[in-house]
Amino acid sequence: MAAEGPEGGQTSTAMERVREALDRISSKIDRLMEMDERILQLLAESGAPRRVEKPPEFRGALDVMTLLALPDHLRKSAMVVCEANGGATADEVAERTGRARAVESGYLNQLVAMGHLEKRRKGRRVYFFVVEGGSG
Amino acid sequence: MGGVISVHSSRGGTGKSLISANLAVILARRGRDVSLLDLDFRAPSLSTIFRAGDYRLVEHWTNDLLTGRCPVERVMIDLTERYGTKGRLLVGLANPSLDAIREMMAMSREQEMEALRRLLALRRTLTGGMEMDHVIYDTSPGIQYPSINAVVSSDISLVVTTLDALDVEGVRHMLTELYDAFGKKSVILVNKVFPGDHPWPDKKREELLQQLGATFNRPILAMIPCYCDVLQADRTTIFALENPDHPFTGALREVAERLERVSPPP
Repeated sequence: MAAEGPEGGQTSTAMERVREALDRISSKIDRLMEMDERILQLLAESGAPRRVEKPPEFRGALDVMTLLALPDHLRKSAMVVCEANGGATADEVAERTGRARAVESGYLNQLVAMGHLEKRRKGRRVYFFVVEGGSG
Repeated sequence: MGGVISVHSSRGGTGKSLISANLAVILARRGRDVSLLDLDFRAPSLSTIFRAGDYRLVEHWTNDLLTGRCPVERVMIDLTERYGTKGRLLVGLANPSLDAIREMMAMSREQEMEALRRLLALRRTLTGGMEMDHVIYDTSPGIQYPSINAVVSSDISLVVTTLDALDVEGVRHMLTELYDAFGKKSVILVNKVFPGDHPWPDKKREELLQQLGATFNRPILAMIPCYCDVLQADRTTIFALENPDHPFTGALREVAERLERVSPPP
């Protein structure tokens, strides 16, 4: 087997940079989505009609039947959050599912948009939690 | 940390509760600390097996764990002394009263979500804080809230089936629709396979074992023959204790040993 030459080293450094850039983009998307949520919340509090109403059938409790009805990739992420005692970050979920952080972050945000998870910021970190007492 | 084993089946009558109760006692007599919980809220049976007698005397039930009414320490009954086990034997009984069954069957999705959350926390308490070597859940059959909650919050499932085509098809369906979906580990125990007093030749047994392995695509932990005297035995006693030399007890000891290989104590 050929030893890894300088080109191989450059490729892995480049890959590392791409991964870091993706993580930065993902964090920014997270922040933008949070701002969006906050704006919608402020609008709701001010009595203005919401721009986008989430479909009611997608909101509610993350019980086992709902988990079973989720697509495989989302169920995997949701189960990790369910099992985590006190919420989990995208990094922690990605570590358990073996998927890239940016991909996992996308799935977790989909679950937030569907009303199954919510996220809370603790310092610089964003934690995902199962929504308690959904509208069901 | 020990592991949680749920004993599950696709339909009733496969011997799930008899096997759960006897396995718990066999493991505890070997010196393991064992917690056995009845999570079959639709048809509770451990209260009969463990002779709770007048069930109004039992103050707290496994139902209370799922509804959050009381902590696990107050639900588990210590039967170590009664059965003379070397390890601790704690049993949590499900409430057989009609009101309790109705309450469990009428739980909303939110309450079922809470039940799952509590079961996941229970796993941490029993295997962590209470340092149990094995936790065994006797579940309700099929795909319904209590059984899925139990399977999802377990580390491994012992799926009990007979050779009845309805059982076999039901298990196959469960394995793909439920176990694969949640990525849950399971092993199969085939019960009442052939008459105990007319054992099959080794070659025929081996062929069946291979066929079942291919059908379920899971390890077949054991095949236990059908014994008329087991079916007719007093259900308020522990069969393995009353009949230590019976081949059924021998088969269950073997199951306990194999189970510890796939779900080792800490």
